[in-house]
Amino acid sequence: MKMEEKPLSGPDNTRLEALVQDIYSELVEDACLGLCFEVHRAVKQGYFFLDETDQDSIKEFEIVDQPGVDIFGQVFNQWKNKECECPNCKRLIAASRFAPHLEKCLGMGRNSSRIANRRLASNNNISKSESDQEDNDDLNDNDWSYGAEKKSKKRRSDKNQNSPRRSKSLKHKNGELGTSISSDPYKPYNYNTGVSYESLGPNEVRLLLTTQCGVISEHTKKMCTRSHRCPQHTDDQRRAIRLYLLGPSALTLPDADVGGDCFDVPTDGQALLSRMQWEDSPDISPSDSASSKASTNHSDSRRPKKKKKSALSMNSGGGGVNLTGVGSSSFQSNISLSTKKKKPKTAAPLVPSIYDQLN
Amino acid sequence: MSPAGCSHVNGYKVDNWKQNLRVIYQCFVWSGTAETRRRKVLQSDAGWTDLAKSCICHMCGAHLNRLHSCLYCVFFGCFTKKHIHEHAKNKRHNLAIDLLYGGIYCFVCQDYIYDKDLEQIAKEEQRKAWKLQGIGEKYTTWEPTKRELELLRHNPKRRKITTNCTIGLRGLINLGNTCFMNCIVQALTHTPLLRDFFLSDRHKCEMQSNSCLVCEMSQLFQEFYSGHRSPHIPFRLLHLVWTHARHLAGYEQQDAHEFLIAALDVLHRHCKGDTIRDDNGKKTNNPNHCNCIIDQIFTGGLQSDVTCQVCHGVSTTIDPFWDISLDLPGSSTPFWPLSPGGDSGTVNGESHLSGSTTLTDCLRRFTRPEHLGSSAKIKCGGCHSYQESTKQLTMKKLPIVACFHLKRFEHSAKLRRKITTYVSFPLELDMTPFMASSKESRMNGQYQQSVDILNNDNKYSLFAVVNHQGTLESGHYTSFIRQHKDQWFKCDDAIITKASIKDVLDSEGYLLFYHKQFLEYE
Repeated sequence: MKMEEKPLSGPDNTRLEALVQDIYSELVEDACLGLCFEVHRAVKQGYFFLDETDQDSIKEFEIVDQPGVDIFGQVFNQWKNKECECPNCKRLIAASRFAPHLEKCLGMGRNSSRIANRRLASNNNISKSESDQEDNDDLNDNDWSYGAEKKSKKRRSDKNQNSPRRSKSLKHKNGELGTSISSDPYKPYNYNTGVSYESLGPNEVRLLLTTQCGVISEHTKKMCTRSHRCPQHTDDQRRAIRLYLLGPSALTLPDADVGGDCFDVPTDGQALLSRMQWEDSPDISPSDSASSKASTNHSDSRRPKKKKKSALSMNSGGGGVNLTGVGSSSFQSNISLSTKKKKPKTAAPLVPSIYDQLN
Repeated sequence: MSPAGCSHVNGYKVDNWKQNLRVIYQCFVWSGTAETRRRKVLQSDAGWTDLAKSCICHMCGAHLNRLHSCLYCVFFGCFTKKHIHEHAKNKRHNLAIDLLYGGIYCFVCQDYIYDKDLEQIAKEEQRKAWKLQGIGEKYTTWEPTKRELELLRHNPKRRKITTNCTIGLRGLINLGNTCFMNCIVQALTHTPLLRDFFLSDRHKCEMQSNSCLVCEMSQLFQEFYSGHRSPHIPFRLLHLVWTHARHLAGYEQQDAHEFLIAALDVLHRHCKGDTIRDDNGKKTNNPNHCNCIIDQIFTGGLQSDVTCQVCHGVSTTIDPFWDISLDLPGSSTPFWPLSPGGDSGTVNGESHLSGSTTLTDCLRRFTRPEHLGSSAKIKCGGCHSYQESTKQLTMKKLPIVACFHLKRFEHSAKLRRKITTYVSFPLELDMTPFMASSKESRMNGQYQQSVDILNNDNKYSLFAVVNHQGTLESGHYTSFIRQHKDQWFKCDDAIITKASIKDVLDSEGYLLFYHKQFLEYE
């Protein structure tokens, strides 16, 4: 079609319109042709089928938007029993307790140096079962399960961090109690929670009472495993239990027994210091309701603080204890240690369920 | 010979066929503008010159109708009227090229064919033309190779990610106060560029041991796109981060922002295998010029100008940054008033409900000129003495992903607390007023800059928000992430639920992640 030299506009606009129409249809045709080529090429090269999916797959992965379930249609909070293998020690750890385990496992964080020091200090005198039992901390670290984290976590006080271990190591120092308390490292409640006096013979009971407070908790019906200076129970209570368990002759034991001051036998300063700290601190137990975890905020720790510096920013804020840069003394995992001693537990595995209820 | 080609092409591939073909493409198919076409024609072979000027069918004179050019001789014929077919039959010239899209037609096969060598030339010429036209690189969709096609055919089970699909979303188990890590992981896995990088397997690991964080990141993306519904347990990630960023190690509640920076740092360090090699094949190991994916996505440049009050000489430094930490009103450092003579009005259309602070306000404060005071005199190179000065921060280069950190946790000497002031942030953000270039034009007297709607360089879209609930000592992190353009999801550790845009914009906001809207090829 030769382009003719005719005026485009004028009284008769049909020609202009016709031209516009031509141009428009040409453009549309070209665009369609391009699409045709694309499809043609895809079919010829063999990748046209890639776009296909079956209806079932699409239905399977559809997003669910209903209250009470997540986008997969699953009910909340059903993931309590997930486990994972620690890359360091290869043990199977409950997922919600992996972080505290890893901290100890790797020897990082604030507690590990203290634990290590303590281990070194008492390493000379300790039998193997002691160190095995120390590993039990991981199994007993149920304080930081998912549910608990939701509640307010004020900084815990520096209490009892050493004393349970102190008495534990002392038990072994004496050598006699190694067998009375079951030395199976994987029975959680044995070494540091409470002792059921019914299962022990009279001699064992006597030996126990030389080093432990021994007052039977109404709550769990077990003997308190703390020292004679245990603040939760009075001397009268201790006297009474000895009277009850061992007869009138037992009354002389607690006073005459140097073991009452068993704490002081190791002369290293750390034990002394930790004992002093333990005496002053209040009592918290994991079986208490979560709200009572709001203990006094011992923000001024007795240990010197190490400022925590991050690599690129000084904003080490956040919902965390590291705010004040408390490097050395830590309060949180101490709680896990100390609370183990505080109230005898029935069985550690049950504790997560308590949190479920609290949730 | 490719499967879609044909044997008849072989007859063509003789003598100087490549050059001839190129000329055809250059002159008649993709010659850019008419101007370039004319110019090209003048440069090319004289024999083509006359005919090139009149690109019409030799038989009917039409210049539309799907004009084709014979590959063997100088002949144009239209397709619709079969003129090119006649020519092919008469002269036994079996190949012709469509002048509109460059497809090659074989008259023996009676179909368009796709020969690898011919297509190669076509692509090269097309790129050249685009460059001439100023378009630069254009996006082309992925095409599988022969081998890949085979693999795909053998594995027909595929998941298509549609808009209503859960693939790409997954919960994360809390390992014990690790909600801060979970939120950052959610934000990173929903960063589009990062996702594309890892899903296309671009990381080439050069670390001998098993402790490469980038590999673990890659694995994380595989987990997220696996289609599994149960939440993922990121214990390996935690382990790796703690081993490589010792200052973070320790079981306690931590700051999400701190974790982000540490994670980016470790990823950046481990990305050594992916740096761009220069022309000699050597790796550009310059730490200031790292080209790893982390730097490409997250690194921006912050320009700091210190102006001497006496001689008005300006000393400029540019520092790289991964995030922008913004002070909030209510902190011990004064927030209001903003800079004198600053931009007024809402730049980004945020809601100014009864004086609530907006993100733009915070940015304006961040980029305001600050008088350093007589106690902080700077040695001026011009005056050769200590003088008072003003300092101003602006953005020299914006990263593809801009992370804004609202400084809600105050640790001054007197108090430690969380600032819970509501800061409204927009879905779309224009960073133009805060750029160094804008500042320059402002100083040159152009005060009221009209917002250039067509300039897309500095436009950002929100895609992830990390929130903190609770107090300074203890709290919980959750995040909102964006998937499929307009769908938002709330990520609370293992629980992923759908969220509305209103939920997102009404949330307190602690870390805000914005993604550049338009990405250009370099």
